[in-house]
Amino acid sequence: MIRARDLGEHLPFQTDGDCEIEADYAVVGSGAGGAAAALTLARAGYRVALCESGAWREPADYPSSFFGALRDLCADWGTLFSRGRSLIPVLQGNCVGGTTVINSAIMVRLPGDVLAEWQELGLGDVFGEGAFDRVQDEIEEELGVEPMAGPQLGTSGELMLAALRKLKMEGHAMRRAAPGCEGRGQCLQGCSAGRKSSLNLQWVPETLSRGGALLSEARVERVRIKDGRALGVSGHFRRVGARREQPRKGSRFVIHTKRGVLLAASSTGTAPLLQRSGYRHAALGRNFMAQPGAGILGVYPDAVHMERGTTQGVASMQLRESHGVKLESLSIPLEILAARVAGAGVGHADLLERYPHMAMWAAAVRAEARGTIRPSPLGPSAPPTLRYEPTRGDTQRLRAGILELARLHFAAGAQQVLPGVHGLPTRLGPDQLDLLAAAPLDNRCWTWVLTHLFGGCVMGADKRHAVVGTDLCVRGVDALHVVDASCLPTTLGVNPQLTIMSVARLVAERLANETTNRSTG
Amino acid sequence: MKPPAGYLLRMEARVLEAIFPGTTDVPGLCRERALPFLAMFHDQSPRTLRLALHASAIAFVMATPLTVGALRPALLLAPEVLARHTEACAGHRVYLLRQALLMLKTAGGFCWGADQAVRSSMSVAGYKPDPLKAGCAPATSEESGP
Ligand SMILES: Cc1cc2nc3c(=O)[nH]c(=O)nc-3n(C[C@H](O)[C@H](O)[C@H](O)COP(=O)(O)OP(=O)(O)OC[C@H]3O[C@@H](n4cnc5c(N)ncnc54)[C@H](O)[C@@H]3O)c2cc1C
Repeated sequence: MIRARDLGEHLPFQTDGDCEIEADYAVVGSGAGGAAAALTLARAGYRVALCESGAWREPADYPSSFFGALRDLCADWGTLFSRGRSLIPVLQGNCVGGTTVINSAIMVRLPGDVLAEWQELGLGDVFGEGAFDRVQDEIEEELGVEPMAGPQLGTSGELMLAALRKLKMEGHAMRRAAPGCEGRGQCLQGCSAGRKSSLNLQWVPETLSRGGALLSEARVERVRIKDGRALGVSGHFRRVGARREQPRKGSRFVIHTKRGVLLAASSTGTAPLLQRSGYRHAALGRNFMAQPGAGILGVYPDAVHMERGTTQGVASMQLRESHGVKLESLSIPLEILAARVAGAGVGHADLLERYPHMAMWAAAVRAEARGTIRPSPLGPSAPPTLRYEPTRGDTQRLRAGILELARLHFAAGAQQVLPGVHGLPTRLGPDQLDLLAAAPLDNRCWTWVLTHLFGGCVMGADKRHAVVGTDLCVRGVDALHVVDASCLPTTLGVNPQLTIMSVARLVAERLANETTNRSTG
Repeated sequence: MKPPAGYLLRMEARVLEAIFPGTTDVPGLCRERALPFLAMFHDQSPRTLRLALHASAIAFVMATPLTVGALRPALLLAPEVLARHTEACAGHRVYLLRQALLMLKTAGGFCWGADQAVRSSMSVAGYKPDPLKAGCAPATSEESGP
């Protein structure tokens, strides 16, 4: 492990006067995309300043409770909701390491069909198959990706795997960046066992050890653009988790860059940041995409204890091509169960009591819906305004996925399932699946959650549709690049972090090579 | 924003008590347990969340004409009518009322589900207290492992 005194500069929340830094590159956001790009540039010998609006947290600081996780690790306490007919909560990390700190560490390689779609969009030169395979191999190796096995899967995972086999469906133990996972079921709270290869423990410390600087609790408010070139970024330190009597706003900081600015503030952060910086493009903030999901609980005669074992251990791609749906085991903490189980009062309490006998499995939809993301009128520190609504087709796909999961629960021996769909009975038995098959397609009846987000500044060859060109620059601005989920031109139908890390690394490698070639040429 | 008045917190605690009544084997969320949690919640959480919780509790208290046809606030109803009202709110056809209940269930769930007594009644491992730190620095070499 890298020790603090060996690291480059880390500037946490500051209040003593303005802070100015010179760097070759500034990277905004230290999540999957930002940390990957920062490290690649640092390894190439550049001085990188990494700005992160969240705080630095060590595993010993990670909270145990879900409330603590929302407070200490999540963006805006999870208060960002997509606005449409239905209100859908959006969950994202806000700490050094970004969402990789709170995610399930599942690593899925970019599917070939998606790469083919990207190549059709004019991105073949940048993302050739060989290049993608190489960086994915490297990343898997560095982060210690391995398949989950044995007790790591927990009873819930084992039941799902057995049911998939019984119904002759594709199913597998997930590959995760959590070597030696102890199966504590605390991925959402950051894995205090320190087993998850989240990027605050991996690539950010290495970036610092290579002379990089990290500004934490440092929210970038503007990209400084002059005469068609990005010159750096500026913002303010803002204390995370401040009590009411504590000052929230700290010093101003400015980073002057010699070579470029890379934006990786996530699909909800990057487009609003560009908009606030005065950049204009017809597609900026549009084409916001997601893989929204929902879960279904099975109630079993014997204890399952879904909280024992990894948070997510088993998946099925059976419905990916036919329905654009991925099925996964997903244990939820007891605190969340209350919100997830329908009803309130006495009947609700009777169900909550059955928590040890429950297993939750979820369906994530490769949704066709497109939304918009805009900066909040209340200022840079307020959550952005997200307009997004799954289409009827998306809800149909979700329903198909949930129906399949219900079948799997019954195949695994569940006595009942709790679909959590308004308009259906709270509990369904095996002979009531027809009710689920005909469940309402009104989004407001379903308990969606948004965790896999894409777009807002997509890249591609089409000038009107893509904010980022095939030269990997934000159109019309030199030395400005986007390296997070917001530049991905399509959804993936699988968990996105390995793809985001790979895209960021490929873009950063290109920048490093270009500048090296230019200076040697 | 000023701290919420004591009566607002007490009202919210009583609402949560109605939503989480408990069973013979598993404790519910009594107001004595809910009150300190709500005080902490309101002290630390962002304004939007605090307002959402206030609005949801008020919606719950005032929605009685829509659920049980009563014209008095929910917390003045007889216990069995309050129980009917609570259940009706959660499954009501008005989406925003359902969402208000969801907000209350979520906030109450944070407290109830982390409660040691609740967890041990279900043989679920307890939580260590959360170490709240406002942006701590990286570990020093003495603190971090090899
Ligand atoms: C609960 C959950 C579980 C998930 N599980 C998985 C999984 O198992 N496998 C998988 O592949 N994917 C998973 N995902 C999705 C995956 O984690 C994300 O897709 C990925 O991390 C997105 O990468 P990113 O770089 O775009 O954004 P992030 O990783 O979210 O990083 C963005 C960073 O930018 C910071 N930031 C934002 N605005 C500013 C600003 N103005 N100034 C400075 N910093 C800023 C944020 O604080 C954040 O740290 C999960 C997501 C969630 C929410």
